[in-house]
Amino acid sequence: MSSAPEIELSPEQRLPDWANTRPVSDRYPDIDMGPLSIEPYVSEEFFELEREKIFKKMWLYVGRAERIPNPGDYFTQVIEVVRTKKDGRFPSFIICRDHNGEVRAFRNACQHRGTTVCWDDHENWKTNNRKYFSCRFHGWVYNTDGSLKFVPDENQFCNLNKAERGLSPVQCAVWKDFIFINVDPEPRQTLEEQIKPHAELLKDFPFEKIHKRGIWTATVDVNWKVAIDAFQEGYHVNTVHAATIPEAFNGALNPNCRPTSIRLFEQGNRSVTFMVSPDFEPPETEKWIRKRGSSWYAAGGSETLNEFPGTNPDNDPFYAFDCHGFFPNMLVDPYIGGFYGHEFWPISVNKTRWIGSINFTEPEKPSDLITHEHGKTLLRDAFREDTVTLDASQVGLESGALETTVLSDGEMAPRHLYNAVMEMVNS
Amino acid sequence: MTTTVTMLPPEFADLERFAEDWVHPTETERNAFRVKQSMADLDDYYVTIFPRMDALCEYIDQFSLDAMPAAAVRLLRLGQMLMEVVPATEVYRQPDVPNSLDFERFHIISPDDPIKALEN
Repeated sequence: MSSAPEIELSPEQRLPDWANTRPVSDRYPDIDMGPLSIEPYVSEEFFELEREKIFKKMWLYVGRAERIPNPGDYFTQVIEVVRTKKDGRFPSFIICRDHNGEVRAFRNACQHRGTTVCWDDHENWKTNNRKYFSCRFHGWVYNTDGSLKFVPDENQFCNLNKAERGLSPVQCAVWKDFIFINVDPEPRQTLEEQIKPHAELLKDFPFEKIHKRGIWTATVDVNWKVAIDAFQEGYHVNTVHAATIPEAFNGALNPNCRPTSIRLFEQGNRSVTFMVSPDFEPPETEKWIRKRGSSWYAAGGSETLNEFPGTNPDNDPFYAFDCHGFFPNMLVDPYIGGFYGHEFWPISVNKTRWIGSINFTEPEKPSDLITHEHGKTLLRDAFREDTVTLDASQVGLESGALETTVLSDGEMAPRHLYNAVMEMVNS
Repeated sequence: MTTTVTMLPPEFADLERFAEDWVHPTETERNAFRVKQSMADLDDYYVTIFPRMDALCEYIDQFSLDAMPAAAVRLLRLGQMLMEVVPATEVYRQPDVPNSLDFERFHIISPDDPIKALEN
């Protein structure tokens, strides 16, 4: 049977019509689109339940394998949210590559009297290297695989079994160079099971060849979910980013920066895609950059780079970037030429440590570092606009001014995150 | 007879006046410098450097990333400084991002660039 000749549609004709429709909620008719109680954003009791039922039970991303390329390389990570007590001190973890090249994670506490072993500033990106970890209090020495190697004046201990006093290991798993740990000694799922929809979608995305070039961090007085929400919808772009990217994402076709695709997956995972405005006339430097590489949202606008596999689900000719929400607290945002992303580390119900970063393919020549700097600067400036809204959101939520929030169709990712958290906390 | 010590290759003599103050090795330093300049100085930098960027890139790309002479590194830093400056000059027309989180709270902790400068 012969098929009818395919009609050549213009790019504008191939795009969905958002003008008067609500395409996302139509696809998920079982989702109640009504107002949401603000309790999960402001309640200390709810936050404690999130700590116990979500953060202490799930795989949490702690860093990229590129930080520890060689045996003996390590970094430390403080993870406030998995502390044992509500008002307790924040635990620290050592993530290292042992002498056999395997990635491991340990609690950063000496098994003698509990003292912190590695005192490195966890916010410093620099990688450290040691043949052994040595505690500065009494000089106990551990191998990079955590085993206890040496105890000064060992004879003074009674029946000390060194084999039982190695650094306390923590479950650790790596997916495409993303290192995750789980403080649950018997995780209910493997890492691959937890991130399954993303792992399937992104299995061929070359994360391993893309490395961190820009990292920014701020501690903001806001609930971790409110912080994530600021980055997983386009509704804020016209106002929050009016100074830095006033015309890149809106235009005649999509004046309010609606996502072009929102896909909801199980266990709170989700994926949102954004387009660049077809009307966008980039500034002169950006046009120059696109000849040499890509800025972070160049849509069909790089002359030298192609999209990586696993991106742009609808083959959108104006594709800009995706935003993959890895439940609970990570966003991974591929674009043409790399990916950027966020971590949101809850400290209390109204305090979160945010880390934003951008990653590029390895520079081949010196001028690639100039191309990369363009993307870094643009994204960083936009993040400064995003992060300034956060404290103000929490102030309003805690003020008693409102009991519910209302979320639009394009804000389905915030709603999905909220619903998943509610389901897990109430389970 | 005295010779002037120049920091950039002779073919970039027109950019020499920026070599002292506008060369910074890290994003943190470039950003801190940029937000303190006047728009007039940022515009001056932009209109002078941008037309030279193709030539600048061609020059520095002669070298490999792990063996860059000092003058080439300075040119690279000037190019990176242009990227730091362009949002201000082309888009929001003031030295720092309006309506944004201040640097007391927003920390830049980006890693160093993967380059190796040659000794001397």
